[in-house]
Amino acid sequence: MDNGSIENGFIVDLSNAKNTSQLIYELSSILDLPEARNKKICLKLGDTDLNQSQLLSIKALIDSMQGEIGLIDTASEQTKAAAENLSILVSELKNEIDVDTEQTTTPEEIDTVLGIVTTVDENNEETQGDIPLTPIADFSEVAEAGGLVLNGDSKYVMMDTTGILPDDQKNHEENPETLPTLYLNRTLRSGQTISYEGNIFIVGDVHPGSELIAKGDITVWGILGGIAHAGAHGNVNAKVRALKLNAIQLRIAGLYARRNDTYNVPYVQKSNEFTPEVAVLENNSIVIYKKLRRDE
Amino acid sequence: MSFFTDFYNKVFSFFKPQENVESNVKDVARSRLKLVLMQDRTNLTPKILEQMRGELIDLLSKYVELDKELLELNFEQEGDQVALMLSIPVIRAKDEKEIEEAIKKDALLKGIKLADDEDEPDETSEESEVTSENGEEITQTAEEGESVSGEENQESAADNNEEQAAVENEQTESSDNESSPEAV
Amino acid sequence: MSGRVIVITSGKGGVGKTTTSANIGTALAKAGNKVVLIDTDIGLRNLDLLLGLENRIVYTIVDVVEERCKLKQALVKDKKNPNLSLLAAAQTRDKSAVSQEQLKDICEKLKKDNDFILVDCPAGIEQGFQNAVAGASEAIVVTTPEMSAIRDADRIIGLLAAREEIESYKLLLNRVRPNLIATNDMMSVEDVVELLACDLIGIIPEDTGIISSTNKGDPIVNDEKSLAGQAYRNVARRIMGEEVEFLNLEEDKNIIGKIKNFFEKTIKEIKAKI
Repeated sequence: MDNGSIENGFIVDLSNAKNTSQLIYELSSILDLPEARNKKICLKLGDTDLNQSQLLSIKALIDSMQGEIGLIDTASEQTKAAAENLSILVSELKNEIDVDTEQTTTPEEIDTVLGIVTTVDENNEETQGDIPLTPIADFSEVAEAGGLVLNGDSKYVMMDTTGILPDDQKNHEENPETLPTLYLNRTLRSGQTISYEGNIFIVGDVHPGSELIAKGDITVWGILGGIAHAGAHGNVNAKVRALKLNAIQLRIAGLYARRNDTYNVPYVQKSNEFTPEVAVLENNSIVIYKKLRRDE
Repeated sequence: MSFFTDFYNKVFSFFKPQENVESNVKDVARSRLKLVLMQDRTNLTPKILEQMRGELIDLLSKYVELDKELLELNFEQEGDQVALMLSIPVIRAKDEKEIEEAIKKDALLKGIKLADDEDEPDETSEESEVTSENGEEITQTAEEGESVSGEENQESAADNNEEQAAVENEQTESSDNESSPEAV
Repeated sequence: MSGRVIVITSGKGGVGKTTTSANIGTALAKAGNKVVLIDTDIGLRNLDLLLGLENRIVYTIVDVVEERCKLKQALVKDKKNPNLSLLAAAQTRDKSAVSQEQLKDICEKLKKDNDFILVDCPAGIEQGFQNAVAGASEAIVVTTPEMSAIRDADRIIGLLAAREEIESYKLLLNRVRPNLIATNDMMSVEDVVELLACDLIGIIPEDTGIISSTNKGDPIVNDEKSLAGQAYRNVARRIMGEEVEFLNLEEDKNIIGKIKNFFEKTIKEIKAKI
């Protein structure tokens, strides 16, 4: 196997698919995601046997969904032969290798993204409504795509906390990954607080009037509308991530940013499309990176 | 004068049908509230209040002819004192004969009632306790009823008309001194 | 300096206590007074939203009480008026987080360098109310010309009257709709005052502008054109001791109402003479 890489790749894991029709169904639903557009699709096919015409129709499907087939990873000799006839690259697919070749990426964010690979669930009926999780482009790509949004420009302004916060606040650097993570699957409502000596990961919306306080990172798989304080003990490496960063206040270590008064977007804005955002500390101010879609 | 009232009635008979239905909203609210506030302020139940009202009417009508429908009983708060305010439109003052007759009739009735029903006096005495926490009493029992003075009318008919003065004069003779419409 | 502590209360919820607090506070500050607004509605705070300060709150009254910060650190300065500041309630706690003594203590401290301390009281007559009233020596009872609000206001007036520390209490009649009063569908100002037997400090007309001012987080007193804003400014002047006439809200009374009023008055006079 050569150790080459595919730029702008998109891995789809179909190795658990039981038959061709299930495979096609899964693939089409994943390719339907905006993240998959204009990508080189890398298929993990496991040991499913595919003949030439089946593989051709898969290729056609990918083409029709504005994608391009990059390579396939298969254990089946039949599939391998069919791929070679169609001059489709066959390779062993390793997430790590793919990722490491993306030079601009910071390791932490990649891990966040790449821990997630699509699997085909056997109980299809139950999961049909859910959007399958696929590895999406990491935030570094975003910065390249011009998605870098600095505070002050828009949603947030830094707060002058002199005279408000104690002066003797000590900052330190710590890798949040070494901390335990609290995983919650719920909606946090006004008046509710979650405070944890580690990272907080919430699947659900965090409404205005609620508070999240974490020693490490805060990640909200939903709309973050309350107050979020990451690195509450002064860890400047902590981050706040959300599908939509709408927090009334963002606090990282001893730095506080508040929503800009002129930014008139409702705190809770329901939408089907989200642009994940991450807030980090850079040069003594909170910076928000936004992941924009390629076609924007 | 009568010209004016006639004119008013004529003009407004025109608006009346509509008025009766709609204009009363505010008045209904007002009178409902008055009652509710009175209860809230005194902790008296509607039943007791109704009884009190009834007895006051009985008592006063021995001396004057009242417009019973318009009798207003109200508690008003001034500072930390609650005053019982009575407003009774007096149609006509009775003459002495009528009063004597009424008193006799009343005494007779009460006598029979007392023999008949033993609960009645209990209730009234209880009531006067409730309303007389601060010393001044409202006297309404049958016996004491005779001693009610014109003072009460004075308070009650305060803003009504000059007849009240006449009533007062007539009644002062027969009055004792203890009753007053105030209670706390 | 020894400031005046005024509690703004109502008994019933939704009659406009918080709106009144925000507006009177802003109006007093605009007139040059140093003002602190205290939100005592712990767990259901809203005053910050009406002032548009929700994004600036770092510490709350509970932090002060539990000594996580100094009182001064918890005061949030208003966006427009440096004379005005807010001591916010905690949203993530409940009324039991602060005691009467603690609130009294905070009021005493704030008195030293402020002209007015306005305490926005929660609805109800339970602990939240008791706390809010604890440090105050004056009270404004907010009510609307509706049965339930008046009844609750009466209860509150009774409770205030029973407290020795409360030297004066005044009535503020909110959401008055002159057109409904004209058609006798709403109790008039006089009716309410008569029923409650309490001095008036202000009559505020219903104003749809209040909704948008709340949404913007900018009190309506800042809108020079608004009638409600004018009414609130007048209340502030009365609090400061000026004699200000009540706004004439009955201009748009319909013609029938006017005629009827005239006749009714005349008839009353005639009757009185008979």
